[in-house]
Amino acid sequence: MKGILAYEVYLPHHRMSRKEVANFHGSYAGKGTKTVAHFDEDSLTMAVNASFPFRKYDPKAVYFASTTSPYQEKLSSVTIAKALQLPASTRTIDYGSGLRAATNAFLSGLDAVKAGPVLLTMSDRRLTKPKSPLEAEMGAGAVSFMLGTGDGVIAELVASANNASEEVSQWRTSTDAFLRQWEDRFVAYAATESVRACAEEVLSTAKTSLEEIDHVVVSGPSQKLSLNLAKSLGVDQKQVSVMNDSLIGHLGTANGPMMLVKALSVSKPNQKILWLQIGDGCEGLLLETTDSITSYQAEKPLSYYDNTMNDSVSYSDYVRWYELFEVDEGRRPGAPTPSAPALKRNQEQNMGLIGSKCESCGQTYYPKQRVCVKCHQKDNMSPFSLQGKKAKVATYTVDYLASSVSPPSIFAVVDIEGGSRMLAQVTDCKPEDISIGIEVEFSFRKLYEAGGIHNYFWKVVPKRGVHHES
Amino acid sequence: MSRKGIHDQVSVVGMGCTKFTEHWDKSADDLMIEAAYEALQDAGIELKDVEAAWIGTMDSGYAGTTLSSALKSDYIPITRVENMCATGSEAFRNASYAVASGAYDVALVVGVEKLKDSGYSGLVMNATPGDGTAPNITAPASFSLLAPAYFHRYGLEAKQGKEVLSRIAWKNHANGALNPKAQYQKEISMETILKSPLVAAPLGVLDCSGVADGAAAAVIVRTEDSKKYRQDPMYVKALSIAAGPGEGMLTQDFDFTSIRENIRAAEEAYKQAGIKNPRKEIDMAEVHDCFTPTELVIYEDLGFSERGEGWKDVQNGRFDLTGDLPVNPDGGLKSFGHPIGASGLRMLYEMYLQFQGKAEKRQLNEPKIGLTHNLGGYPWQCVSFISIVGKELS
Repeated sequence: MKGILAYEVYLPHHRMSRKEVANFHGSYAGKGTKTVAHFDEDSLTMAVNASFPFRKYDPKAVYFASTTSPYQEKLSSVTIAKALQLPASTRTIDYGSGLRAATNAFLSGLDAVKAGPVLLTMSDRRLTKPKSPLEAEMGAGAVSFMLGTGDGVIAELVASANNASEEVSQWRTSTDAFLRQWEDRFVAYAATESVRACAEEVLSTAKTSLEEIDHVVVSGPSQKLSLNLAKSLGVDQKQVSVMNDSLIGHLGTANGPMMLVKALSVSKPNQKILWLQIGDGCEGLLLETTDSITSYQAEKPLSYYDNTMNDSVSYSDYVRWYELFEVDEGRRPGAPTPSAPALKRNQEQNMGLIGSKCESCGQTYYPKQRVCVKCHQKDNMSPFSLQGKKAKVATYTVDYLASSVSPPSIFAVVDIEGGSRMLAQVTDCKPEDISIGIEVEFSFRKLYEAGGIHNYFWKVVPKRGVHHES
Repeated sequence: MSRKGIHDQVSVVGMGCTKFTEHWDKSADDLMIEAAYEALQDAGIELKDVEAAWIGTMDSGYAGTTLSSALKSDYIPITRVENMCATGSEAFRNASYAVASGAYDVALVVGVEKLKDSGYSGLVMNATPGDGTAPNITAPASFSLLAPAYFHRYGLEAKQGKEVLSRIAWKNHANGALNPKAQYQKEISMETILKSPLVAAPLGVLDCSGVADGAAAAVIVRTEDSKKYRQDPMYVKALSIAAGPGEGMLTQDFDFTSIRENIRAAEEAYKQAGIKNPRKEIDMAEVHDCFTPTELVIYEDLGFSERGEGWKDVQNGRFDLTGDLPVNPDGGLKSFGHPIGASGLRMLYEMYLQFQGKAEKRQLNEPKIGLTHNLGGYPWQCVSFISIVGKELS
């Protein structure tokens, strides 16, 4: 048996109402909210934060699927593996070039699970032209799966099929910043035949029928189109209940996986889920849940994000965070280009958040030290990971001068379980929400981009749902 | 032989200081020439009498040629010194030791900084290449970390704490208003300071030192020779500097209500000068008030106030020009301005004027012992410098 061992999701803390988008443009943009990545989040950081709980599965491979990799040329899966403290022997593969990257990675991962568990993470933060119909539609988020074999599988793959079609429906050239889409009605027409053919083949291979399917997930260029395509197959309302979303928005490559997660989270054993992923045709997967589904609980379920979100992002916040216009940096120097040798030297420390511990006196440090400031022993340190450690604020400042996409910047002196301390940037936090003594947790973020280098590191966020929900 | 420190071995026989301001029309060379010549003339000597020189600058030039190029000195040894915001003091300290050793009879020290040519509004340092993970916290924000920690520990409400900080700025502006060489020569009301735009909460722009261009200079000789130059030299009784290992940001037993380097530098300086009770024995001080919370913790670190009592001494006027222990009578970094490399020497310049009775409207009543304190770095890791200087031999 091979299939899904576990799932986790990551959604940004921030959401914007579609009414806010409509108000700005003087148009109609639908109901509900969409997730908005903070200025320091991209597809890679969200993938790390979604995959964080999976270290315990000892994955042998990391597959990353996204249409918005931070680099055209440079693997994101390697950064993710380092952030999760996985060994250098871990296979690292990036999938992209369209929404079907999700199913490509999923099926390839299942092909590879004989060699060991595969960590699969899908994540997107797509840029849409202001006022385009896509703008109110597109959210940001990540979904991660652990794929593997054995009794721990909560949903196994029963059948799959592919139906390729050469068409220009939703696309972006290598130099385009914004997603492009052909006329809605053509996009719907273009996908119809592939979806139908793909669904038929999967169902026939699995020797089942549409009526036997508990959850149907169709993920295409837009939510409305996907729902219409599902309906055209002849499903009933109950079968497509997980496709209803008015709070998160379309998550790109993570969109189908997010609906799959919703289906899994409400499924009992022996239920069937049909996932039809549109993109230059359609790829279809039929999954069936096992007895193990009853005991599985995600570390941070979707409800955690729904219950702790900030849904009051303004359009002007959004424009700044997505850097849709150029702002004057003021008379301050820009961020210096990180040194490539320094980045390489410190890769385990910075990506994995690994400091050191003095073997003589037990004092822990971040960043790692060679000489102990307590007992002055030299070179008697062992690695000490801060990941998952409790942390609280010793003192803080709200810096209105520091260069930032979203000032003011909040910095805190953070005391970490085990005895170390660091000066950390605080994110997803309003100035009024920081105070001495509050608990914070680490979150993987992009500090800045300089010289064409995205500099990733850990920041802290106030522990959500504990202190700061007003 | 036991260590005795610098105690009275060297004296300052000439000093100079430019006005600290935005010198749009002057270069660093212009400022160095102005300060150096004022000091030489004050000592009654010429450039050819100087046997060695030290130039302190953080970023306005590299190597000793920064000064030799400006002064056209005659191949004498010149060393460029950098120790962040304590640069000027560090240049003075090194020159003092060279003279005390007997290697040279007459040394010139010049400190200079030309901040306003950068085009940036605040202090900007060249970053050392690194992995870029160090937070890009600004100088005011790094020192503002002291404020919530101090308020929290001693139970001050945010409003009350803010008033204490503002009163420090108010005092230094009131002093600077009496100083013709200060960058800001006007009193500023408490209300204006309290309401100044936030820079690093809770600090407003008026909690920050002035960003200025300027230079200051001193001529140092051995005390045995000093009367050849003038009858009223300033005697150097202690010089100390403490460089911290940075434990404040590595371990949790530092609570951001003091600066450890200050405490250690003070211990050493008081030992050298034989000072047992700084609160009583020191008549005046120039301290590193880069931001108002820094001055608050300095009072306690240097023993001017009991721990946790500094804020009360601020409120009762102890450190005002008319108080028991005037601090920053010349206006401090706050109102005199802070051209980095020049500031440490500017502090000594005020001591020198006060001892000689030349401080005009801000003249104190016959001070005999003064302290200067100059700090470079961050509250959790810095170099902290202290000098104790006197009007009389002891």
